[in-house]
Amino acid sequence: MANATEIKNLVKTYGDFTLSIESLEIPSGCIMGLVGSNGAGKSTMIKSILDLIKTDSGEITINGMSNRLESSREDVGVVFDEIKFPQVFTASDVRLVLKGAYKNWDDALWSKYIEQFKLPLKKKIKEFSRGMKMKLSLAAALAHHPKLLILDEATSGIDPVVRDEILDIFLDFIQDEQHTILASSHIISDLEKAADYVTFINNGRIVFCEEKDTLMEKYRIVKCGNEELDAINKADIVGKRTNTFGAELLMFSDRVPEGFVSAKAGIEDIMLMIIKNEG
Amino acid sequence: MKGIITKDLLGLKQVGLTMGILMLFYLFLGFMNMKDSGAGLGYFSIMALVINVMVPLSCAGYDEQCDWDVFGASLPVSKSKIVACRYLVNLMVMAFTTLVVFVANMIFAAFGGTPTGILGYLVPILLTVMYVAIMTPVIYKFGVQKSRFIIIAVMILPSLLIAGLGMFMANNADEESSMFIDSLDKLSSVPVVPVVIGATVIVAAVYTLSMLLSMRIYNRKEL
Repeated sequence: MANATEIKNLVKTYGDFTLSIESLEIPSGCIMGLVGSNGAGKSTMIKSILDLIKTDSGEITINGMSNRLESSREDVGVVFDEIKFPQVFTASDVRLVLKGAYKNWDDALWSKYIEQFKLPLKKKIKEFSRGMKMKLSLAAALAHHPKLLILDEATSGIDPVVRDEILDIFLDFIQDEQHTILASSHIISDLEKAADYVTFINNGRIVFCEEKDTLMEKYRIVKCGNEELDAINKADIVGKRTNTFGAELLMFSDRVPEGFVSAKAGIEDIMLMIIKNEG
Repeated sequence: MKGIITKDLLGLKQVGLTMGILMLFYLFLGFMNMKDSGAGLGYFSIMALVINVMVPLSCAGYDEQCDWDVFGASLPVSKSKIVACRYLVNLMVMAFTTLVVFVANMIFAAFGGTPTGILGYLVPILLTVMYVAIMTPVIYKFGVQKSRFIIIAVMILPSLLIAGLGMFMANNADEESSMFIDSLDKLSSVPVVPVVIGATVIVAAVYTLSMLLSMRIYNRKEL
């Protein structure tokens, strides 16, 4: 399977923050969820992929092409957390701009999304609700037949009904095995529903990049009292959350001691406990 | 590039409407005053120049407001081309407003008014191009908010110089002022065509250099 995006030896420094990614491959045909706390480096990584910022070193390819080439962005659709068009624009204006920007712009596909999302063509963007703005961004990102769809906190601040509707569009988009989605989100439940792979960034470094199912099987949450905690080998504990009655431990599934009750670990549990452990 | 130019022009639609109404008002005033004072379409022409000067600021203002730069740079267009588009839009608007002023003057003349001479078009337009050339890299470097102060300073400086020169001449009424008027007389005997061609070449060169400088600034910008 070819890779939609490859990152090698990427380094980008902002003051005392450094994003450093030795290697990351995003396979074609998957949804890659990008998780991490605020300031972990998710947006910096996305901006680096889109060549919006000057990286200190490293190479990035999109569909086999260097990201420095403007043509590499021909097959990329991007949805940011906010719509980036002037508020006085209408959906028709957005179409005119993007039709002139992309070679593969498809008016019929645009109309299909506009109809599906029930978006008004003549209303100014400033009169749109947040959900409508996001749907417009999504229609704009999809109507030129992109192979790679990049979402930077695209679903944040949207109600669950619209989010679910948008997730369906993503799942529909990914039916084509040449299509790929890279989605950074704070809403882990969305990624748990849709993502095939999860990349976790903390303090500018990739903690893990794994298939979601493998990841979920790899870790377990163990609940134990303070006395039981002493009986567990500290080296086997990946993360810990303590309370007055005992602790919740994140452990590798094969390291859970016999006799201890364990439960499936969600992405959020894994993320939070690792962040806590790393400080 | 077509998309980027379209974006700027659509953004200017709003400003253009307001300015268009103001221009119509001044055109109407020009026609009303035609027979009373014999005045030309001075205010109308000045409004056209104001529009030209406002274009880079308005476009950049809209872009900053919605953080367009980030989205624009994610399109299959290089940052240098995005800057080139802005310079092209500036020229397109200048060409359009000059054409409007020219047509209005033709109509004005047909009704017996005094039309503006060729230098009346060229000198202001060259000064405007020069002004936009100075202003645009400043906007790219400092953003709209900070640029406003720098731009105001750039506009006030020539006025202060002229006022200073006037005060100097008033204080030194005899010798220096007669020398100054003599040199102005000499200037009037200089052939106009070569001067205009020379000025046009210089302004075109400054505009091109300004564009290259803006490209450099924008390419280094972290979006």
